[in-house]
Amino acid sequence: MNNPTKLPKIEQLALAREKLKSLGKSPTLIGKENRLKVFDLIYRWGYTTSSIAQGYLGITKGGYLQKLSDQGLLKKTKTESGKPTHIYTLSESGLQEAERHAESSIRYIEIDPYRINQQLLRHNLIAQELTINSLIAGVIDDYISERTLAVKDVAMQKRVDVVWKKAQSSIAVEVELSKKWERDLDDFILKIHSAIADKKYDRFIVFSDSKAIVNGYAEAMKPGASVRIWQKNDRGNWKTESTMVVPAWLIDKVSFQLIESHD
Amino acid sequence: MTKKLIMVLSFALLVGCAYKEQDKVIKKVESIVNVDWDEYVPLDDMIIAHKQCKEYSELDPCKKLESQLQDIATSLESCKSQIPRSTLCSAVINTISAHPIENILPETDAPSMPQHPFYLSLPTRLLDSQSRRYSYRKEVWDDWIQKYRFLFRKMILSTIIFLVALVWFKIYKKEKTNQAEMERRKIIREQKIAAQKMRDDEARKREAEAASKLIIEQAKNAEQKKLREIERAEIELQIAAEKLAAEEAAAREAAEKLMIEEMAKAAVKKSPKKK
Repeated sequence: MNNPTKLPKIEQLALAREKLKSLGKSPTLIGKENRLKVFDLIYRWGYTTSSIAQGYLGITKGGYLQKLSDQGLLKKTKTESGKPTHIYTLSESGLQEAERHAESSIRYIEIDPYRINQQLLRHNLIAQELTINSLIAGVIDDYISERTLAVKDVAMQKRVDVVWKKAQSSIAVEVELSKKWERDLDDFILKIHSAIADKKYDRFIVFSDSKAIVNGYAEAMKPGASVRIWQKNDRGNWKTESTMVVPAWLIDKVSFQLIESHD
Repeated sequence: MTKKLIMVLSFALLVGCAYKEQDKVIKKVESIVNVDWDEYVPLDDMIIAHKQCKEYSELDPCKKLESQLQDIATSLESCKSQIPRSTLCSAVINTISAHPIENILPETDAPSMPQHPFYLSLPTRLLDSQSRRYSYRKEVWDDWIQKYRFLFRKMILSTIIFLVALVWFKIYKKEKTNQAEMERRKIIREQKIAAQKMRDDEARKREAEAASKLIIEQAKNAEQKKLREIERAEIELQIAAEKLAAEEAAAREAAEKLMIEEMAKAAVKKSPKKK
């Protein structure tokens, strides 16, 4: 099939009209729906990028978020690292619109973009993009972002990066870009074990751009491996209190996926 | 002196003669009073002895003679007072009254003669000694029987009747006793038979109970065996179901894992672009 962007403009317009007609919706309605989708996306994640939003909306042409920013519905902010160059957050009016249509209320600190932790930008955007990709591919039905999970935080249970919903299943997703060691790794494994044992989540997927991290975590979670349980002593120092042997079922409930690094 | 001597000798002679005379009297009287009156009564000799005892009344034989005379007198008076007169008394009266001894008899009381044959002895020795000769007891017996014959007949009849009744009663009682005994034995026999019957019934009942228990036991065993077989089948079924469930779970798990892996791959299909 021919690439629509390589066709003459008049034919592109014809194709677009055909597509609109097939949807059975007016352009205004489609535009409103897209806007609400963007608001919902940003509300649930805090911020997004132009490429993620376009992929979510299925728009090939760029500049949609810029347009919304120009309309005062979004705020465009430059990143410190330059990767991505800009991120988009909700403005006051955008936030109002988003809250009016939201299913649950989330505290939106990103109304001030400078409160965003720039160190976590890459991590959070990867998690966002993986989620949107899964939605578009139809492998998941919905998701719960970390900021929504924060509302229902429970002690001793890992707050995952995002939870994917597929039918009755809840799949916890972790994006690991830097390797955990010692107590952090033990805690990581214990909290995954606790979350699955308590049936909070059915499975875990650990995404990483490092083969070493993936292999390392897989090795640490293999059946029979020993995991230390840490506890603070009277002087506030972390000490090993006891150990747990990793059960055989844990590795079957955790999947590891390598993602391409595009740095 | 000689006069004195003659007097003494004469006195001694007299005394001696007196004593000799006394001995004779004693002997004579003794021979009379010692006569056994069962043989005869020496009335004549007694008169003579009475005369002789006039001087020697303190001597024992004389006292005995007086006693005998008293006896005769009493006999006579008793017989005189007996009405009707018996043969004995008639003989006594006839003999004594006609004899001179009547004149020397003392006055006395008249004890009555026994009018029944059950006396031990007659009032006097004379009457006793002569009673057998004149069959006084028999005579009195006959009179007495005659006197009470109606009563005796009645008594005899009553006695006979009584005896008959007694015998009859004894027989009747014996009959009754025998009857009662037979009845008792019959009852005992019947009781024994009934007891035996009851024992037999009990034994039959026990046998029937044992048999029914055995049947119930067998049925229970069969049911338990059946239940065990059902349990075993259920267990085997459960094991098979668990095995199947495990296999299904493993298959589901594998399928889920595959799905998750596909999910992960789909997620990374469009990886973040370089900015």
